[in-house]
Amino acid sequence: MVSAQKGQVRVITGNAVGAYGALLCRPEVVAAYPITPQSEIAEQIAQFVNNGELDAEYVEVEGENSAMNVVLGASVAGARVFTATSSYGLVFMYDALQETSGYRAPVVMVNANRETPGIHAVSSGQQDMVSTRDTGWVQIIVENDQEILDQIIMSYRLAEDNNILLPVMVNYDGFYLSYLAEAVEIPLIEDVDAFLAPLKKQTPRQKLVPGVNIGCGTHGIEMGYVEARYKHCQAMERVKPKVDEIDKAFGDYFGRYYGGQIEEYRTDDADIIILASGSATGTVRTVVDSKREKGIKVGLVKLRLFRPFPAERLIEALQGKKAIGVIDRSVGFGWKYGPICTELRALSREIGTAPILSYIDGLANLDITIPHIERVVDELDTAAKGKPYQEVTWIPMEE
Amino acid sequence: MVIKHKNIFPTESPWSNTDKLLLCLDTGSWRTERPVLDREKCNYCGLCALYCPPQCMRDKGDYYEVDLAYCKGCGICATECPRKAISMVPEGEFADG
Amino acid sequence: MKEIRIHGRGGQGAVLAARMLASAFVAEGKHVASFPMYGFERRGAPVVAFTRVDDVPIREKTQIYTPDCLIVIDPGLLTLPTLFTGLKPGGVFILNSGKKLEKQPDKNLKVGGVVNATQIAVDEIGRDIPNTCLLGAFAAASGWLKLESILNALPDYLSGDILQRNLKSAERGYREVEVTKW
Repeated sequence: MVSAQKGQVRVITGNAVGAYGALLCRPEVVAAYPITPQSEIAEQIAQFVNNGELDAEYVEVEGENSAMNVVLGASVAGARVFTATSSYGLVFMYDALQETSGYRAPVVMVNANRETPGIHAVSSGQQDMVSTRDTGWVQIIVENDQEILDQIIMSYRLAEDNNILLPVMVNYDGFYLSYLAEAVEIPLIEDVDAFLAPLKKQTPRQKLVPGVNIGCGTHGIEMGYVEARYKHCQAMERVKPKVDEIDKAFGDYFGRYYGGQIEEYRTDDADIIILASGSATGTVRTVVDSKREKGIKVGLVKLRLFRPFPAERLIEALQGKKAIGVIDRSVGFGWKYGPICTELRALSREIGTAPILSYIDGLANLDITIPHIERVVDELDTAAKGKPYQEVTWIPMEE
Repeated sequence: MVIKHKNIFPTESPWSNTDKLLLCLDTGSWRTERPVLDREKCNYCGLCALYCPPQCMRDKGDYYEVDLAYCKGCGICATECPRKAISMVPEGEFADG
Repeated sequence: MKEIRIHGRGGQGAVLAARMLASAFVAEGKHVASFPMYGFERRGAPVVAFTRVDDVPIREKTQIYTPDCLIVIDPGLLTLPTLFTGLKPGGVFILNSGKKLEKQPDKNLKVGGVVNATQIAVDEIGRDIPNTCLLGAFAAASGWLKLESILNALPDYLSGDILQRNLKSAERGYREVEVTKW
């Protein structure tokens, strides 16, 4: 198979990367409202449109609810669309998020993770993603700037696949990645075109056309509702193997593989595993390596796909392990464990008897530091040996 | 869990007693220029106090004086003054700047 | 890996300085990760920018607790009690000030570079934006970067007349920084 050419390497921030991701995928309609820590995406895309680099209709909206409604409307009219938001903006479009997925519109959105309303915080955290996990969207979490770009490209290939037709949210930590300047390889637009070309070979999807008698999102009474929900849930199930398939295709073409639904780092012979997501996984890798040098067989499972929850891959990765620690960058109202931990616990029977420890850390721009993760490893090590352990730890409260 | 954190809020939900300072940002240290009033021109209209974002213009009886502990040097008072009685002067030119 | 922490105020170019530094290091074949921390995006608010440099890809995404180098753009920030906390032995200190360093500010510091970047910036650029001048000073005092790499990085961020002025400011920072070694 032909490979992509080497792209241009530039030192740019996560937000700029988000804008480039949009640029390269050629959306036809963009509507985004600025909000910290995502403002630069909205600004940069506006600049791209203004200077002709992006041939798109940029609709200025007065708020995020309108932003999602605009791109939803454009999407069901057949356009490729893009939007971006964070925290307050994401919850402001809560009803529109559900319309979008209910209509099975292939919208791609980047969400710069930031804490949600209730306690005002202009800071990083995954609460916004967690509070919208039941909106029927595919939710993916990335670790660094390069992955933001690559995942946006992969998201179009996923969303617009006729067997999927679901909106995709690409989550990246606000502040930690949105303003992080790293060297990023920006692929050539022709190569992105080639990667997304298989979508054009499909039967064109249904779209609203003025004058044509076709409707979308009509009332579902009784079995109409049940059928639509059933099909939506079935599509969610199909997302899981498709994410792995697209990751492989992306890696084969561009040379960068991310593992698909999850990435396993030094897990094969590991006794204990840390399950983490987002930018913190980078820090966990460093600790895994240093603890390994001291003889502790620890591994990392990086959760990339959050919705749908990658049950099968997680069971396979975690089966037979002696202790698992889940680091949540959010809180779970209603369970004492963090949200990702709670979901993992649903697979306890399949995973085995390993203790599953919940760690809540990294809220409101407080770092998940190297000492924190070293502590997690030490406690997992203790738990794996059958000694008493603490089931739930809010690390910042213990400091 | 051994909690070492000492509660900031005495109440269950995050209510705070506004008699006491919960979060006081030393915003006066942020500015790079400060408003200087020409008292001859001031007619005590109060527009500067009205528009000041951190509300740090203090009523002195027949003129308004900036509270330098909080003034961020945004210059809105100077822009809004109908008599052009306020000018923004760089901090470097003051002994206490 | 080297960890550099830049302290400034919004509007002084601390964030841009961290990015320019990142570009300069990348041009020399290094891996970099650079990000700022600020709660409220306002002019005048204190800003900290973290830049990590290494020969291998950088994975940590945390603030910098054990810096190898501190760059202080606003001398008013010298009173910060935690400024030197965690400084690694052999540390480098770059300060924007018109006054010389009287004594070694911290026992872990090995190299200190002081330059009146505000004055140079006002001379060359016409405004108090001392960031590029301090980058030049950093290159000279630390020896971790060639001046050339910094000058080549600037066009990614600035253009036209303002670029030329900043190039001069950076060059002057490089030449005029007063380096003290302890």
